[in-house]
Amino acid sequence: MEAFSGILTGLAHAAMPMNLLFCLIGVALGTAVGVLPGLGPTATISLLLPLTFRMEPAAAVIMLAGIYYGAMYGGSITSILIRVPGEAATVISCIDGHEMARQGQAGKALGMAAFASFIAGVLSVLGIALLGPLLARAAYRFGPVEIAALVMLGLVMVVMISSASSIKSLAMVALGLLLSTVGQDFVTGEARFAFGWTPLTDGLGIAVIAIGLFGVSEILVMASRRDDARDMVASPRRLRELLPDRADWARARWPILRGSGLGFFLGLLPGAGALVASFGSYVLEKKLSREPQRFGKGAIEGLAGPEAANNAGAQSAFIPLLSLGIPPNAVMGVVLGALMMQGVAPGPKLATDRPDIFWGVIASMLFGNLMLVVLNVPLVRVFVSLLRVPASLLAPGILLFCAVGAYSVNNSMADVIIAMVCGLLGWGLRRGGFDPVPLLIAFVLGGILEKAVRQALLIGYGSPMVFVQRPIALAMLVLAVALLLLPVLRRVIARRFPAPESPNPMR
Amino acid sequence: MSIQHPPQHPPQHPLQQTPGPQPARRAHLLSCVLLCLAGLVAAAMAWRMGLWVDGSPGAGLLPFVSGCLLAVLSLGSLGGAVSAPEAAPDRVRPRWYLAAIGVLCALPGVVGSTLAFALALFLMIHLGERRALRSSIGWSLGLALATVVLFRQVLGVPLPEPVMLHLVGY
Repeated sequence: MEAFSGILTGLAHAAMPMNLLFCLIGVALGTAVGVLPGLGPTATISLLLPLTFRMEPAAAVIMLAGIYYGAMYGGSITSILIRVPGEAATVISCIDGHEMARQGQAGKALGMAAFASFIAGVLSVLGIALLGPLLARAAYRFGPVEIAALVMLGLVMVVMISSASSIKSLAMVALGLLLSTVGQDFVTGEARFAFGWTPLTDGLGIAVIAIGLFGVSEILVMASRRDDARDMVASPRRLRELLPDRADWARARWPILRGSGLGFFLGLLPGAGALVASFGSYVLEKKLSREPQRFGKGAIEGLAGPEAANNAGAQSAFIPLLSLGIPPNAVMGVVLGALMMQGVAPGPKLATDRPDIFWGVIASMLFGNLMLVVLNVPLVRVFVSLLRVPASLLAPGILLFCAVGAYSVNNSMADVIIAMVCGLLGWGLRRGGFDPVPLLIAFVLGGILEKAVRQALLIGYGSPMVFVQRPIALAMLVLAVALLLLPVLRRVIARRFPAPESPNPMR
Repeated sequence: MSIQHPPQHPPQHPLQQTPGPQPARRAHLLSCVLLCLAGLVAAAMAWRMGLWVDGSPGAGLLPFVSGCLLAVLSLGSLGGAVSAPEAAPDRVRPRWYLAAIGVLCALPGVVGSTLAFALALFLMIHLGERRALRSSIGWSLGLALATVVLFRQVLGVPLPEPVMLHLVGY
C-alpha cells in the first residue's frame, strides 16, 4: 500500500513538465555519450555537476539517472554496429549483437536492445517500488568476502561465454587479471609494471582498453580481409525488417524476463553487480537454450537477455544509493555527490522526508525508458544506414574515432598509444585463436577482486578460511567450482557410461 | 601384379600435429609462446614485489598468481585446434593501417591534430584502400575537419596543437 501511494506520488512529480524535460535531456545526452567511444556516463555526469546547482534536486537526479541508463543503450549501439563496447557492461552485446549486424539484422538487434531495455526498465521500477528498501538492507550485508566470491564466480562464468576453448579463455582471464594490476598498488603505493613511464603509474583505463581491444583490433581484422569478404551484408529495405518479428519475440521473451530479474538483484550489489548480471544472463540463456550452438552466431536470445539484465541492473543500482546512501559503483558515487551538494542526504529517511526525490526518481525511470524507445527505435534506420558506408571509408573513420576517443578520456596522447598497443594485442590474439572478451571482463573485475580479496584476508586475519566461514561466499565459491568442473565431469561420465547404441532399424 | 605400399612419412613432432592450416597454426604457436613468456616475466617481477608482507597479501600476489596461470594455460593451449581463417588475408592493406596508427600516435602533437588526422586517413584511404587520389584527399580532409569540429568545438576536448605554437608562446 505504501509502495503504491509512493509510486503515485512519484508519478505526479516525474510528470511535471520541467522534470520531463530534464529526463528527456538526460536520456538523449546519455545515448549520445554512450555512442561516442571514450566518453562515459561517469565523466559526463561529473561535467554536468556544476549545472545541477541551479536545478531542483529531484530534477537534477532525474537528469543524471537518464544519462546513466541512456548511456547503457548508447553503448549497446556501438557494440552491435561496430563491435566497440561503449560501456563495460555492453561487452556481451558485441558477441551476438554484432553477429546479427553482420548477417544484415542490425535493425532487429538494435530494436530488440531498445525494447528489452524498456521492458527491463519497467519491471525494475516495479521491483524497486515493491522491494527496494528491503533488498537494500539485505545487500548491505554483502561485504568484501562476499564480493570477492561473487567476482570469482563471475570470472568462471566469463570462461563459459567465450567462443574459444576453456583453456584459452582461462588464459585470457589470467591476462586480464594481470593487466588490471598495472599501476599503483592501492595499499603500498608501489608502481607495478609501469616500467618508469608515468602514465602507466595511474593504471590502464577501461575505456582505453575496450577501444583498443575491440575497436582498433576489429579495424585491423577488417583490413586483413580480402575485398569481397569485407562489406557488411546489405541492410534491410523495409521498415518491417528493421524491427524484431513474432519469431524473434517468441525467442526473446523469457530471456528478457529472466535477464530483468537477474539484473535487478545483482545490480543491487556493490562493485560489479550489473556487469556480472549481463554475462550471467548470457551464460544462463546459453545453458537453458535447446540450441546452444546458435550462441555466438547471432542468437537474439544472447542479446535480449543481457540487454535486459544490463538496464535492470543500472536502475536497481539506485536502490542502495537512495535507501542507504551507499553508492554501489562510480556513477552512483558521482550522483551521491550531486545530492550532497544540494543538501540532500540519501538514506533510510529519504523516502519519508523527501518523497519527491525518492519516488520521483524511481517513477521518472518509467518515462525515461519510454523516451529511450520513442527516441531510438525510429533512429534504427539511421543507425543501420551507417552500415551502407563502404568499408573503405568506414574503417579509417572508425580508427580515427577510436584514437580521438581514447585521447578524450584524459586529454592525453599516452592513452592513444595504450589504445593502439591494445589494438595490436587484440589483433594478435584473434589471429592466434584467442577471444578478447574474457580478457576485458577479467580486466574490469580484476581491480575489484584484488581489493576485495585483500580486505577479506584482513578480516580473516590472513586466513583464507574466511571464504568458507561465510555461507553466502561459500555457496558462490562452490557454484564456481562446480561450473568449472562441469565440462570435465561430463566427459568423464560419458566415457565411463557411454550412451547405448540405438538399435538398427534394418534388423 | 605389384603391391603398392603407401608412402612412408617421417613421424611428426607433437606440436606439428595441431590440426589447422599452416599460417593459422604459426600464429597460434607464436601467440602461445609469447603469452607464456609474458606470464613468466610478470611472475618473476611480481615475486620481487613481495607476495605476502606482514601477514597480509603483498603487492605482488595477484600479479604473481595471474602470471603463473597465464604461463601454464598458454602452454596448455599449444596443443589446441586452430580454426581456419575465412580466406587468404590481404597483407598489404594492414601495413598502411599500421602506418596510420603510427601517425596518430606520433604526429598530432607535432603538426597539429587536423593535419595528423588527415595524413593518417590519407594513408588508409588512398594507399591502403586504393581509392582514387582526388576522392581520397577530399575524404581525408573532410573527415579530419569534421572530427576536429565535433571533438574540439562541440565537446570541448582540447585536441593536441602543433608544437610550433607552443614554441612561439601561443
